[in-house]
Amino acid sequence: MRFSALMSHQVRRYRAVLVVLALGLALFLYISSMIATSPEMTRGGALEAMLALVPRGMLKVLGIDPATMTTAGLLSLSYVHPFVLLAAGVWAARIPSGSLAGEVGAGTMDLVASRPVARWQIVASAAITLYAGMAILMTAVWSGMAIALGDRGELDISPFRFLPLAAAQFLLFAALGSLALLCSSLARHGGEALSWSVGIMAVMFALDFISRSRESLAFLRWATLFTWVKPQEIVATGSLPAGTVGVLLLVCVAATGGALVAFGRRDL
Amino acid sequence: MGAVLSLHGVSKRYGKVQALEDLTLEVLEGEVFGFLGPNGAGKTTTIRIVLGLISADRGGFSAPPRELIGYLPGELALWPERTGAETLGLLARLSGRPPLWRERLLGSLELDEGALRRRVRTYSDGMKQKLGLVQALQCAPRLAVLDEPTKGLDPLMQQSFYAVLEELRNDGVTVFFSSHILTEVERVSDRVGMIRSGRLVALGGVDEVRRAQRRRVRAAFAEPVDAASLCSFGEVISRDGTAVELLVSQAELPALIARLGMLPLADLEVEPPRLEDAFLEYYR
Repeated sequence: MRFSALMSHQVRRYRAVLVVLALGLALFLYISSMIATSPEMTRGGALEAMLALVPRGMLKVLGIDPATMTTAGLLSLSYVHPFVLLAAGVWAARIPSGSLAGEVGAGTMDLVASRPVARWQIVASAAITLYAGMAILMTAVWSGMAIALGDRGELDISPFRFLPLAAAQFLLFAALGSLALLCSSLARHGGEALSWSVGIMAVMFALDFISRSRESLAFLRWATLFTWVKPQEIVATGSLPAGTVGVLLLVCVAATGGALVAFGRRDL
Repeated sequence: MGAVLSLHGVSKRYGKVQALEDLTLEVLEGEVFGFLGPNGAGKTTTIRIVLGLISADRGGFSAPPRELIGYLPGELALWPERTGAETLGLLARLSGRPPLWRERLLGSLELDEGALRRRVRTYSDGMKQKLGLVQALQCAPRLAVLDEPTKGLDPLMQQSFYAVLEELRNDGVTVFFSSHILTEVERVSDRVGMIRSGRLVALGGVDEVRRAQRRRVRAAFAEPVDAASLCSFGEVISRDGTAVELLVSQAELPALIARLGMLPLADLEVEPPRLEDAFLEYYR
C-alpha cells in the first residue's frame, strides 16, 4: 500500500510532462518519417545525391556510412535526431533529479521519509518511474514512425525492423537516467543533481562526436555510452548487439544499485 | 509511566560544528514535553535523529515504530500543486494507518472542505501550518513530534492548537514539541528540556525548572540604604538611591526578607519565578 502510494505520487507529479513528451516525439517521428519516405527522397539516386553534398568527414563525425545508406538507414537517424535526444534526455535527467534530490531540497522528503517507508522504496519508485516513462517515450518514437510507414504503404519497410533500435535507445537513456539517479541520491538539491546529470550527458554526447572526428581520439569512445548505439548498423542487421545490451544494462544495474546504497545511508 | 522516547548519549557533528553532544533524555508516556532552545541549539537535529532522517554519530535512542509517530517539520514544505485533501490522503497512505482523527482535527483547526479542495500553492502560511498539524496527527499517533508547531498561526489559531494539544493529552498521546516561545511551553508542557549548543542544560517539570531559578526581588526604602550589605544574599542587578533589585535563590529568600525587615523598608515585590528567567539564565 505504501509503495503504491509512492508510485501514484510519482505518476501524479510527472504524468503531464510524460504525455506532452510522448505526443511530441510521436508527432515528430511521424513527420520526419513521412519526409524521409516521401517520393522525392526515395526516388532513385536522390538520397545518394543528397549525401554526396555532405563532406565525408562530417558524415563520419555524424556516424553515417554513405556506402550502406538506404531509406531504412535514413529513417534510423531520426532516433538520434537532437529533438529525440533532447526529449529523452530531459526525462532521463529531470525525473531522477526531481524525485530524490528535488524533494530533499524542497523539504517534502521529510514528510515522506519520516513515515514508515524504506529508503530503498523511495529510490525504487523513482527508478520505476524513470524506466517506465522512458519505455513509453521510446514506444511513442517507434509508434510515430510505424504510423508513417503504414501511411506510406507502397514502401517495403517493416516498422518492426526498428524495434531493436527503439530498445537500444531505451537502454541508452535508462543507463543515463540511472547515472542521474546516482547523482540525485548524493545531491542536496534538485538543481545540483540536474546540473551533474545534464553535464554528464553533455560530456558523453560530445565525446561520442570527438571520438569519431580523429583516429587518434578514437579511444575516447570508451568513455561515452552513446558509442554503444549505432542506429544504421542496428537497423541493417535487425538485431541488438549483445555488447550494447550487456554494457548498458550493467550501467543501469550498477548506477541504480549505487543510488540505493547512497540514498539509504545519507542524511536527509 | 514508561518512557516512550529515550535518547542515550546522542552526539552529532556537522563538519566543524558540534550539533549535539552526549544528549540523554526521556519523554514519558502521555506527557507533553517541551523542548526549548534558541535557534541552532540542536532541537531540530534531535528531532531528525529520532525520525531517522539523519543518523547520530554516537549514542542511541528508542522510539515507537514510525507508523505510530506523527511529525510536523519545523520548515514545513508541501507539494504546491496538490490540493489539501490530496496531501492528507497521500500522507495517510504513506503512514499505513487510517486517518481516524482527521475530521476532528479539521474541525478544531477550522479547515473546511472548500479549503481542502484548493491547491496548496493558494494557501496562506497559517493554512499550510494547519494542514501540517492535521497530517501529523490524523492517523492517531502514539508519539507526536512537533517542531515549532505554532509557527505562522495567528493568536486565535494558537488557542485552537492548545485545545488540540489538550485533547491529545486526554487521549494519552505523548507529545514532544520544540519551541522557543517560552509562554507556550510554560502553558502546555508537563516537563521541559532546555538545550544549548547541543547540550541539555536543564530537564524537569516546568515548576521544578522554574523553582530552581533565582527570584527577582525589588525593594524600595523610605531612605537611602547601603545596597552592598545585601550582596551576600544574591546578585544586586540595580540600585537607585532608595530602590534595589536583586536576583535571589529560593534558599536565600527567607534570610533576605529577614534582613530587609531590619531596614527602613517601604515596599517589597518578589516576582514568581518564570520559565523565561530560567531560559535567559541558561542562555545568557
